[in-house]
Amino acid sequence: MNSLLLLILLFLIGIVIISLFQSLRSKITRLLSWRLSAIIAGLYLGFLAMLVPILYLLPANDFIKTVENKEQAISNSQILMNDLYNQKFPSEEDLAKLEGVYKNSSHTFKVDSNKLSINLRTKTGSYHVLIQEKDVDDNEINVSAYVTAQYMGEVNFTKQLAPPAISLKNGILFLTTPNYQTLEFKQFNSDFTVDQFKHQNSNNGLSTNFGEQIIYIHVPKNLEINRDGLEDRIQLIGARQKLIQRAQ
Amino acid sequence: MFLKEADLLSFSFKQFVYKLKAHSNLLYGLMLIQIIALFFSIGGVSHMSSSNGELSVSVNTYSASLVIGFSFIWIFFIGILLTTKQYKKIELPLVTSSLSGNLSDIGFLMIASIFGSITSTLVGVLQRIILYISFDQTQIIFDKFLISFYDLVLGIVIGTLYMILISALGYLIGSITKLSMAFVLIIPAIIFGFLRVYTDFFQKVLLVYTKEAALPLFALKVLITVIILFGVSSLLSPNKEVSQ
Repeated sequence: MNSLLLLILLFLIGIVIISLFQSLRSKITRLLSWRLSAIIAGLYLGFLAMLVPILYLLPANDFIKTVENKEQAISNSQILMNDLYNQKFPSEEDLAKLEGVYKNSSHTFKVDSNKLSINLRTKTGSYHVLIQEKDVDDNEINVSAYVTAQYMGEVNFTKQLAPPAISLKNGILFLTTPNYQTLEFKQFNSDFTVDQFKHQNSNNGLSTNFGEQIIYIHVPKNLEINRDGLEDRIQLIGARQKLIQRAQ
Repeated sequence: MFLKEADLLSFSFKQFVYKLKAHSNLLYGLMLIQIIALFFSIGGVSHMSSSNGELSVSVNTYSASLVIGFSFIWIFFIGILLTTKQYKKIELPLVTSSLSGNLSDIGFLMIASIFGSITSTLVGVLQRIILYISFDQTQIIFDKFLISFYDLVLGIVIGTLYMILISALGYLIGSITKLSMAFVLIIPAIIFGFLRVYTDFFQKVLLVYTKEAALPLFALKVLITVIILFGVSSLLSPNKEVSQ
């Protein structure tokens, strides 16, 4: 129904424009000879034709390319999230190698207390914190932020996401989500005349796939972890996890 | 005295050249309407956005379809316009019959359709360049930004076929209304009546052309329809003696 209304509206706009032009046409005709009309039409056509090679010569290095394997990236991300919910945690090496998962920041902090608390300041539940104890007591906390595949239609905007702000103060690791982010993309579709024969505009209804954030924290051996109230979002993995399971 | 068959083509051609010059100012309307349509298209033809509370992602979609659509409206009116008394008067100084007059009109409509289709397709290129200049490259999705040469030619061919078809429809409607001014009211009444009783009739007719995915078949359908529409228009034109 909306498309019919749009069609009628376009038709009416067209009629108004043509009618206005027709009313002015007799006055314009007196001023313009057919030679001038032919020259103007030729210049118009020539100008438009000249734009074709210019279009091909435009530098296109920074354009968003949609050649990645979207299905594989989304599938990997979904499997990863299922594993996290089922308490199957990947090593950071495996996570970094996973197609579709992108590391968007990493930090190293000197331990300033014998106890570590996490202050998770996020607006959504899409943040998952994994804490792994190191084999050594090197007095350093290594934090890496990963983000799983994020798509709108064929556009992969994973790498454009701002990383969370991460800081350590008095034994508290602050993980703060960035300010509200707005991403805008411009996409061209084939004209309907071409699309009728090539069916290129199959992504008219663009589906959005928002991913999840994984914060991987490596802590020195024997550092006490406090995750009061955040047990469901902060997971201890490796040796520390086994200790907790034994205690339970 | 009626025109001899052998002379018909040469008379029609002379008339066609004459009309090409006489009606050349009609192209201003096309150029104007394409620029207006381009202006309307700059904001995008569709918009989609999603948000998850932390992030909002939006995609603006652009195409030259609006420009092509406006050009279709233009050629429809040109088809009607050529049958009006004001435009038929142009034939008076020439040796003419109704058939040669119609043939020269058809020739003009075909040239106008080709011009309209080429320019409306190329306005899509202008639109891309304007957006390239206006926006950050990191916002532009590369896919379909570059139109392949094949797509350009295909777009021009399909656009031309559609415009010839639409011009033939306009020419037929103009020819019918020339028989009697009553048809100016009767034709819209029939159309609206049909739409009310057979809601999907016009949709089905449109689908015959718009859902055809094989180019040769589409061209054949358009060709047959155009021959019928122009043929009926010629039959409806009153026979007239050669005027000089």
